[in-house]
Amino acid sequence: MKDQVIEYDVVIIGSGAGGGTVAKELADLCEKGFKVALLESGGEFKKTDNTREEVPMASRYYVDNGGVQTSSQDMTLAFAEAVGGSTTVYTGTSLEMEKHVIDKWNVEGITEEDLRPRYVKYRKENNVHLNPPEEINENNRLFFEACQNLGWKVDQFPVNTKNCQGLGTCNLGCAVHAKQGTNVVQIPMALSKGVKLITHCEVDRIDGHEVIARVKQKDHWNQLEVGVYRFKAKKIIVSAGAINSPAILMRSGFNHQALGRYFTCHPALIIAAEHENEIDNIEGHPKSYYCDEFLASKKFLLETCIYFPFTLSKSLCGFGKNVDEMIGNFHHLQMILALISDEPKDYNRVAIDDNGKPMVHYRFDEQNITSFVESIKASAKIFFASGAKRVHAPGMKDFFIYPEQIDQIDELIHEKYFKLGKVSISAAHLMGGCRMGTDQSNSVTNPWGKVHGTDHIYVADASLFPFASEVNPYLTIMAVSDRVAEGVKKELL
Amino acid sequence: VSIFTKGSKFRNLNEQAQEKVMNFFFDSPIGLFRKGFWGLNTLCKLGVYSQQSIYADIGYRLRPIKGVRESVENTSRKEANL
Repeated sequence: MKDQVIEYDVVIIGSGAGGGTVAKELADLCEKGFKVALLESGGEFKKTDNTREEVPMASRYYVDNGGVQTSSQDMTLAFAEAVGGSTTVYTGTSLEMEKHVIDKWNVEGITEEDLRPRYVKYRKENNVHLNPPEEINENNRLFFEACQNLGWKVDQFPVNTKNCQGLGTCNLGCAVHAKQGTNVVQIPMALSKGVKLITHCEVDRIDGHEVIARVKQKDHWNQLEVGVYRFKAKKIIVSAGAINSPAILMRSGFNHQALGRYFTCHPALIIAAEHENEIDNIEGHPKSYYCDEFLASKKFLLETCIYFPFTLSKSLCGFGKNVDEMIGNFHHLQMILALISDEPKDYNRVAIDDNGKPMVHYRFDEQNITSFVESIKASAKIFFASGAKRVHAPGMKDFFIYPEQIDQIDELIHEKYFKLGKVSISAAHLMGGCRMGTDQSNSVTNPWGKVHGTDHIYVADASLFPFASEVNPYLTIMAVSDRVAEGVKKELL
Repeated sequence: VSIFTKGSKFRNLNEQAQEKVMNFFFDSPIGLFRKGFWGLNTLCKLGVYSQQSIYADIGYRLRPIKGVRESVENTSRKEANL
């Protein structure tokens, strides 16, 4: 049977920070008679769908339960598949890229003057603010005070919540939709103006002006019968994220030299310490502070965090009694997320297998390992400065380090103990693969997100990033996608 | 595994010997062994620490949701015997 063809003027693939932003920006076109479709491979989750159970919610929101493995099997990648994409599962921390990173991107037209007004726009639209002190829990406060005592630079995260109840389960999707992700803000705005949302619609490839996709199931937003469709459009915007956007372009036959390459992801470790007394760690926004004291010199960023029992257990590098003891004292635990700032390399890349399924090839280099080890040392110092009775330094000589050993930290936490495959490394800031630029030999799109060699296919998501953002990327994804939408709109009108 | 335990079955080893075998894989110089152990270890952790029934014992609490969600919350907590 011939695939059914449905005609639109614009088809957007993916509804996360990139696609949701583009959909909202192009929604005005609907009032001028244009037809805009937003295709999303996941479903829409209502507040009442969220039970806050760790594994069922990970299974519902994330691709492969949040544990997509790289080909070398020493890192897992977490990204969501839902209306709102990964904005459904982030913590809503809203940082802008520093000027030196914008300069490093070196993309024509992407300047502070261009990006800052877009940041301002989305900070306002998504209710970015600083939580008041009374809403900051002890897990966060201890980190802040310790950094201050150590004389290290520490700042509060602006967050994009509204009516937050401090449930502490942001990474399992918010059960009260307090995080102002695209599922809460931009997509409803787009739909109210006439954008058509088609859920459970998995895009295979682009063939000329047609997007070939399979509708997997019907729901409230999608009354199409299960089957394969060809969505024909004048303009196609690929916003499927840093893994699926390159994969869609590859399946569509594009073979730019840089396609899929220069993938970065801020590889991260969850590091935990135990206090003698119970601390208030679960309730409240999980991520209030960050320390970027060592970002420039040692290439890592430390953030406060709190994870759930299984996620934490996976990150504890060990088994048996030690892990039991630590998890058994969950309400005594303080946690830090250490993210390393990775440089784009052509060998770190997204590829597709014979079936068209994406696979990420990622190799850690010596600088990455040094950054990990230094981040563990710095975290241990923060924990001890917070009064922790023992610290778990993942992958090191001993499972626990005690306060009386603080002078031996350089010996106890050392690269000689850090072994890939033993330590749980995960990443959720997936970037690159369709990097912007003017040189076609090392970029996939032009500075407006248009794929080189085409006049109608664009990319609008984190895959455009030529270098890692060095901070939580969603606000930059929105700013860059806003710019892509501006370019598309100019061409259509 | 019995290759590494002089022919004994893993379950017949004492706790110390079992730990030694596990450490052999956990901290092996061979990456494949470490990754294999990581996978099995993670599955075991999934079996234990993902159970909502242990939350109370370990001190992990879910803050009740205010407002309309309370009835849903109560139902799921009841189902989990919390």
